[in-house]
Amino acid sequence: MSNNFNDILADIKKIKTGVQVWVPSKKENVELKVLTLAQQKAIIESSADINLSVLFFNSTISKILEQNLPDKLTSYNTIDRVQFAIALRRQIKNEISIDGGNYLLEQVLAENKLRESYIAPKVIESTNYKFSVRVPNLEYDNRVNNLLLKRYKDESIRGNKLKSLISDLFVSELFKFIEKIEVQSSNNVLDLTANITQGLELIESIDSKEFVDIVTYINNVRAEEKKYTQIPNKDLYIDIVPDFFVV
Amino acid sequence: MKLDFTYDIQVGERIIKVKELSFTDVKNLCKSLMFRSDLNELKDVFNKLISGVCVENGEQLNILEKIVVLLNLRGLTFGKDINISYNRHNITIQNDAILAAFNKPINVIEFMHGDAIIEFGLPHNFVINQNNIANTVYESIISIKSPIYDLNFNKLTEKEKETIINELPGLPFNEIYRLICAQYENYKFTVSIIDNTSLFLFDESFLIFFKYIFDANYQDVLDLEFALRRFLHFNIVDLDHTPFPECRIMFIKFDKESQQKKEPNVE
Repeated sequence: MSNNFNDILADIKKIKTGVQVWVPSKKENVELKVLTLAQQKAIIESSADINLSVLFFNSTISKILEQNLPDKLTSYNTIDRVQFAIALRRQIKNEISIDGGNYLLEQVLAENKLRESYIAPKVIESTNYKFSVRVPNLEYDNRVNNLLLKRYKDESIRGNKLKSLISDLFVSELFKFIEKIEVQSSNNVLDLTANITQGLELIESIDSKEFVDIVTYINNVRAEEKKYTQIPNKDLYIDIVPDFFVV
Repeated sequence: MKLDFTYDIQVGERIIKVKELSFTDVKNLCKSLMFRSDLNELKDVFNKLISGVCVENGEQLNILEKIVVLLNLRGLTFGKDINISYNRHNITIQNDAILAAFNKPINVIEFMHGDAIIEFGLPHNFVINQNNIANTVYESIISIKSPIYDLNFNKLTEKEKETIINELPGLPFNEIYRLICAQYENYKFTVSIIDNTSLFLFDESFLIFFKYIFDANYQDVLDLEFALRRFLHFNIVDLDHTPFPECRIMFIKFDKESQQKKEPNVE
């Protein structure tokens, strides 16, 4: 047994095994490295800013998945993220308490493996536009989140800028799902993924009523994500928030 | 040759070497404490004081070691009696009585995580609560023993610790935090005569108490400095290097001698 720091570090790295996690979008297992102490600390600290905690949390999870997954984040979507979060937490502690009951995360993961969930990309037509929508991949979702974080991170609760946070969150939520917009009258097509800032401005300028069916599509995706947090055979759901990792 | 004198302070099995506070140190400490009541500012003042007096690794002391060092330093600098005015009564608490309540061996917590045993001691920071669970647990790691390695955290540099933390698997922070709190809940000192006021290891009570017992009257310190400069011809180098208690002793001796000279010759 060595007491040399570098030898020990090498040993820790060597025994830091990954776990096999079922990926809903790929319908196959991938190896996910376990959460490190520093990563766990980063998740817990992501809740420090109450106003931006959801954005910070998602951004932190994305950074962690970038380090712990074998492929780039473009290979996974937001439904997969739920599954990864539960798998990461399971490595710290398998048990979770909800409303006084104790449940095993391995059972949630096993149940999720049986789920069929594929929400296909589609074209949604509104009065004046055709929107190509799809479930955003994690890399794109993270890029949009980071843009908002950059805009708001130095704002205090009383700052004027913060008042527009809710509306910006709504716009960015829509934006993440829209890949292309086609103007019906001119057949002009704009790829929104090419320039996020410009794309967000464009979405803001479109009348809200044009987005009604897109909101329904987004709600379906979020409902699908929620299913992956369900305790098997119970009407109970896991909240994937920073506190989920404080056990 | 310059010999720097140090005191040995024993905390459990550890010997911590501390330097004495000079007159200038006490004057600066007094100024630092005068206008501060915010806990974060007090934390900074006392952490800086500990780093300044400890010969080595002051910043790596755990909270219990810090408290014991500060209580000893208070005794060395201002004497062992702590006088408190309460309800128009003067109450004296012995520094040694508080030390006896806290200078006890640390019971290490062993936590099984995977195939490794992680030993936890005490965190470094003054005042721990639910808001800093992750840091508290992370700071409290003493060692990690697995079948293939044995890692003593106390022997690592901060950089090495960070490297290891970046690689170690996550921990059930809440569970370990609760174990740490439960292990040390009996480390307290209660002053029954002051409404059963208690000093606890983890809450803000010690920081407030330290502010009180280290906060010498600034005017008295300035008066002493004037007397030392005026009558004993101390210069800035003397004030920087002479321990505060020795300055006081010298002034008391000078004062006594002056009084004797003033008294009429009995013969």
